[in-house]
Amino acid sequence: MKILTCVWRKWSLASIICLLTIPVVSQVDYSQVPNPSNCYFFDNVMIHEAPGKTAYLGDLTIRNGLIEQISRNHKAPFDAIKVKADSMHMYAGFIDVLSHAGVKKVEKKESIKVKFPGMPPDEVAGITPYKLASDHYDGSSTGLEALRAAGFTTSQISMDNGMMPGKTAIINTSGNQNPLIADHLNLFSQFKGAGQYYPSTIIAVIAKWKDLYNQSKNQQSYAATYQKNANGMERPDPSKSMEALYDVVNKKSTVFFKANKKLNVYRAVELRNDLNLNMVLTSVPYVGDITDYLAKERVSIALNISTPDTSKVKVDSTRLAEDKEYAGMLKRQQTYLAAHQQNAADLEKANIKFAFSSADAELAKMQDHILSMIKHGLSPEAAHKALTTYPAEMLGVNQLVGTLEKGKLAQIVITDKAYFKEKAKIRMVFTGQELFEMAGETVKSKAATVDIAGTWSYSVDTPDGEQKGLFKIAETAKGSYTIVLVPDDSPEDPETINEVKPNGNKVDFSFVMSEEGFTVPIDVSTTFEEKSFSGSLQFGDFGSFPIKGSLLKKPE
Amino acid sequence: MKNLLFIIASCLSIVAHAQMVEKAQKGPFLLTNATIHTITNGLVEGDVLIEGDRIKQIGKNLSSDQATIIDCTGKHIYPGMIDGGTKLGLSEISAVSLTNDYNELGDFTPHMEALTAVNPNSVNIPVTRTNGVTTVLTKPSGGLFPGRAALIDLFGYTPQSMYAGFKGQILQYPSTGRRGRWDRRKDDEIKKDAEKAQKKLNDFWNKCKTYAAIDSASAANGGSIEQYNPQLQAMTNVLRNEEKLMIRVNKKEDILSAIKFINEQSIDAVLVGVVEGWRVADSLVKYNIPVITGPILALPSRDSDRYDAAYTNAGKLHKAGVLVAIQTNENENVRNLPFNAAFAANYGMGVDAAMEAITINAAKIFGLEDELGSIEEGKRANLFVSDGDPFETKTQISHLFIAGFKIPMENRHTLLNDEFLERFPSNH
Amino acid sequence: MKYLIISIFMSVWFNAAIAQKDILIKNGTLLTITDGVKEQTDILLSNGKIKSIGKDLAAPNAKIIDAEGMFVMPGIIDAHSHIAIDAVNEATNPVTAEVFVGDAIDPYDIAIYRALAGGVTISHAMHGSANAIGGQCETLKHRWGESNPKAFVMEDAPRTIKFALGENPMRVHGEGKDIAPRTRMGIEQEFRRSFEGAKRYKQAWASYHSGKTKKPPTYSLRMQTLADILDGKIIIHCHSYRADEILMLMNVLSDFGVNKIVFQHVNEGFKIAPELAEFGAHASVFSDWWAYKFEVYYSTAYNAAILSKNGVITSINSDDAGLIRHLYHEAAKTQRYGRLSDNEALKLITINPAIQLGIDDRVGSLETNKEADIAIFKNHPLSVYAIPQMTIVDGVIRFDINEDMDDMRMEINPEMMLPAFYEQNEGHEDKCMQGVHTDHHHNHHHSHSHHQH
Repeated sequence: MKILTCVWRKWSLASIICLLTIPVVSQVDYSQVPNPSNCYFFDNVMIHEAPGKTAYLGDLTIRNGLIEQISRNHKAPFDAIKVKADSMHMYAGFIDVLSHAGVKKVEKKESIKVKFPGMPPDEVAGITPYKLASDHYDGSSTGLEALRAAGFTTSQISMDNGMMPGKTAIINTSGNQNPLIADHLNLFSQFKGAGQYYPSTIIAVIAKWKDLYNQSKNQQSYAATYQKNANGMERPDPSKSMEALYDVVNKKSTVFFKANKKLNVYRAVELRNDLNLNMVLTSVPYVGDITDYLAKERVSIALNISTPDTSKVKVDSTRLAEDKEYAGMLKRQQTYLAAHQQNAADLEKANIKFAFSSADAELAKMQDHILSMIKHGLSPEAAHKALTTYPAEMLGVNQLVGTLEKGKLAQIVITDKAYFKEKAKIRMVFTGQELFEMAGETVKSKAATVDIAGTWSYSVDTPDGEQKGLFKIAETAKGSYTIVLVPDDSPEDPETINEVKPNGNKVDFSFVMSEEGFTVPIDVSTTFEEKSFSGSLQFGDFGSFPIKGSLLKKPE
Repeated sequence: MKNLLFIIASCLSIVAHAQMVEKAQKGPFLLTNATIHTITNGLVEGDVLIEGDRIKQIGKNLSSDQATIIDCTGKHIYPGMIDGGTKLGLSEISAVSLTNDYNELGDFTPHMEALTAVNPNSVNIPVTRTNGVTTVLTKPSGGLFPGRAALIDLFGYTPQSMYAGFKGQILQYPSTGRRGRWDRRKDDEIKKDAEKAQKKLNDFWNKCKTYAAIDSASAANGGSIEQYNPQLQAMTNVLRNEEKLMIRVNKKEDILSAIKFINEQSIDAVLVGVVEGWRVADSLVKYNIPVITGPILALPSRDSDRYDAAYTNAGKLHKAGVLVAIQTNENENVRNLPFNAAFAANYGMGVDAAMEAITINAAKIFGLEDELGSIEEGKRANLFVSDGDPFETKTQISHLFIAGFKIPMENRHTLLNDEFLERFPSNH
Repeated sequence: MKYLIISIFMSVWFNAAIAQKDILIKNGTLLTITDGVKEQTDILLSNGKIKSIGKDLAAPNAKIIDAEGMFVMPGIIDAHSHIAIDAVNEATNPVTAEVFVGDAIDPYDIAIYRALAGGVTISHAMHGSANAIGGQCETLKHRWGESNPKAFVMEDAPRTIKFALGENPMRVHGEGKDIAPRTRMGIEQEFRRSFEGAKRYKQAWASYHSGKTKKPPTYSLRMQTLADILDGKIIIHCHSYRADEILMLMNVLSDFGVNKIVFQHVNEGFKIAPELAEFGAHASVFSDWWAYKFEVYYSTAYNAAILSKNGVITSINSDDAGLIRHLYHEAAKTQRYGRLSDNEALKLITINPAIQLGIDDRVGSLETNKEADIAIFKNHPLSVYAIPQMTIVDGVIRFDINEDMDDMRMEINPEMMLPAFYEQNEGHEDKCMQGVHTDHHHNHHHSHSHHQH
């Protein structure tokens, strides 16, 4: 009867669960002090309800984890905890399409003896679609903390072992005992072999997928026939794995497939097409050059958040001057760097919807990555969508999360500045009925100790030789200078940089150059001595070049 | 009459059978009417007289009473080709580990003598020499100092009779590159490993220096060093500049580092491999360091390199003014030395320079320019006769002489061809 | 500073678009393979096909290539390679017919471009030789510059599969994992049990489809693939060396009514050339590789010549990213070792491998209506002084010696400045056993001289 039970169950439980924790006091623990209320009130915050909507200063009330009221002005309920967030920016909490945070590592089953490495049990082969991430949930994991610190309030989590680790769970990132938003819905898969056991290589993973799919499909239809009339029929005998894949075969369940290199994007899409699967690709890297293909194939994409780390590229300027091969390679690399940085922008331009997945990404610098994408052409609105409404749709939880709306789950992120415009700090995250406040430190600037006024010569060591010119620096207010940069090659076209404030003897300033339709931000960072200075000039993302100079004359 | 014929026929067949194993013949030999590619003195139309193990005479219309005359009309005579680096004789079947004798355990085994382990009867040897390669350097490999390489002629019944007059210590210089595509070490791990290896090298080298100094002092005092150590003892010749150090090094940065090492230690060295030599040719010229490069028929070492980077390296080095010899680094296919040289020739080196690289240049590097590497009177009679340019793939080599012996032109490959080209159809 | 901005933005990706334009190659010496040598003759390529061959052809809109003094031959075909794929050996099981290297094509492998620079337009990307029945292989067209792996697949080329005999499967499974086969006897039984199983699998499905049984058999891509072999839908390419094992496989195949077989490497093929010819088996061999393992100790570089002269359709292959660049030179070695004629030698790398891959009606010779895969050489391709000048695939120039810009990589890591330097391995890398047991490579003292092909 076991089989029949299984067939009847058919994962009909696989539906959206909205479990809100109701405080049940069964035992007293005096080391913890509970919150005096389950109602929170945010007064006078800059509310960004949804991407594309104009932000406004308003108030928001949360009760029992739901948004109770959101408006330009309303009264704080008498029982509310008033949260200090005056003039801060409030967004719907970010949604992460795939992460391995909050999931206990599955221990290797040493106990399982494998006689034939070519025929291991499913568990050893990394085929456990019947396993649930929710069963392996670990709220204390630091991964969840990192997600919250990056502004993620919702994440789809999955195990990470083997080609088919199991079903995902969509959770809030609170670390609560019961964080489930949805369960049983989706399957996570990847081109990951089982080492010395079958399937060991990507080609066997793909073959195994086809086997499992077809076996599951056949079993399911046979079981259905059997159920109608079992007379004279052998009993169906699906394996646990086959059974767990019924919903995938029926396209009720989406496969979230890790495609962390361009080739794996093609390969996963090929598999999707072969087996007619519902599929979302996660950890997607640079694909900006194949948007035609992605559009034609209607590929659902969760990009890896990380953008290229330009600090890893160290340009050796002496070598650059002497070594043509090196210079050529640098040039090609920079072309690629530029392309990679425009990845998200290219997708937007091609009208391809995308979200983000945090697995494999550098979360600590999340906003830097987002701002880099915006700097390289992604619209702030698209970036906002990619972190909220699109992933909510992709995960099928857009009725619950993704925007700030009355009745939706109170999954909120609060920043000190406009997140999609300028460098901002995440100050608070509200998720799973809990408010998490982030430490916000302030940086004090030292008073100027060096007077930099005067006329200075400068020279920048670039791939195309030295660029020379003059800095004409005048003090306009106490400790504040205006620098006029006059290049030797185009003295008719000076750049003026206002309000440069030295910090000790460090002088940093930025400006934007426009030429032939291109704009390049330039960041100069120098240390001034009495009669000379030296430092570096960051030329957009193309590299950093040494700059130095000396005092020509002091002001009269 | 019929019976008699039958008997004679059977006798003949017995004789023929007895001669199945062809042996080398001793001279003198007079090779007549050939185009002689002397290498050092241009082209000569004429004869070559071989007596004993020497080239006795070169000229027109030579005569000799005892000499077997070999008519070489329309044919070409070249000096035997010299491969600057192989494992020949030290390995029979590379996948069968117990047939491999080039790789002793340990990083510091300079006291290992390649010549000791040369198998004169390796089937690889006849296969090699019948393509005109008469002489090869056979060398140990493995650790930092894997042992002493030896130059051998490819004919002889004992290693000693094959020995061709040069030995050199091998140093496999620490590499900062990846060992191959399978090398998954992170960049900083590679750096660390290389630094570790460099430190090992320096520590060992310092011990060698101290040892050599004590050894010299002991000898001056009429005694011998008390703390005898075979590893350190084996290096004393190199430290006294009495023996060449053959430094295998490939990557640009490593080559520069090796050059610095050579200059700092003022040793007599030759660089081997030198895949990225073309990037630092000026340094090699400046310090007058010769190079044994190859294999030429190799892949470029970086994905960004031009597809013919390995083909063109030798030519670029030669044009810059480096003394270049060529190695195949092979064992069973050392026979492809002429083709390696041909690709170098074709990709920038020129035919003459490439031929010099595998003859007189190799001889010069081994200090044997008066003995090998050209067709000159008084030199060892290592030479071959071909029906054309020996670089050209279809050219056939008809005669081969090593140390004055006329060597049979057969080997396993020709013998199997003779046996199986026309076989009974089936089941016999 | 102005100049800096412009120069940095000026760098344009070379492969942005390759226009498909007619090409007229003028006045070359055409080595047609199937129709002799034609001096001073033109060849017109249009829509990816050879449109016409003749003297003084005119094509007003075509790109003209002056091949005066050059040799024009069909693109070289390598019947055995492992370039352009990410996975070679699924070495976990002695039978893995279901895996398919075409699922792991790597279009960015620089080896493809380097093969083009050696005149090679098609390579047969093969599974390795760890298993008695390895995976299915893919016939690739070297359309370098394309991003999608699928663009490299030669459309509608027959399916092929890798088998392997002898030391490699014996070592991997018998010695390495302590499971059968450990002997050549055991290897025979792998084939027999696999084919017997496939027969029953076919029967079981037939029985299900006819309604005789109600429950469907358990689906198995492996058994289905084996059944396809029995049905003659897949050409077997079998890694083999020794005469006895080759005869064994021919016996097994006879018993199961299979006849499409190309023996790969087949170093002892020369010993049984008449038997191979009688069976109709083909041979794809190295020009001169031998002695790297015991089963190739009794080899001869005359192998290709002996096989050809005994009527066996023979090709010369590379199995190696290095060798694939000079297959023209490898073919020429049959002139040193066996004195084959020019055309006999050239067939070994053109029409014969095409026959072995089942694509000889489309490529492998210069004939009108064949696909426009062309290699142009300075000096005769069989001369050691040959230099490939231009390689054309389906009418598109994919290699041009005058347009080569040294660094031809497709994908560049934006975070890594200098590409890695790889030390050269002595001898040749172990391609057929790629990915099997790489642990020994980490041993510093290992010399990498093994040729486990």
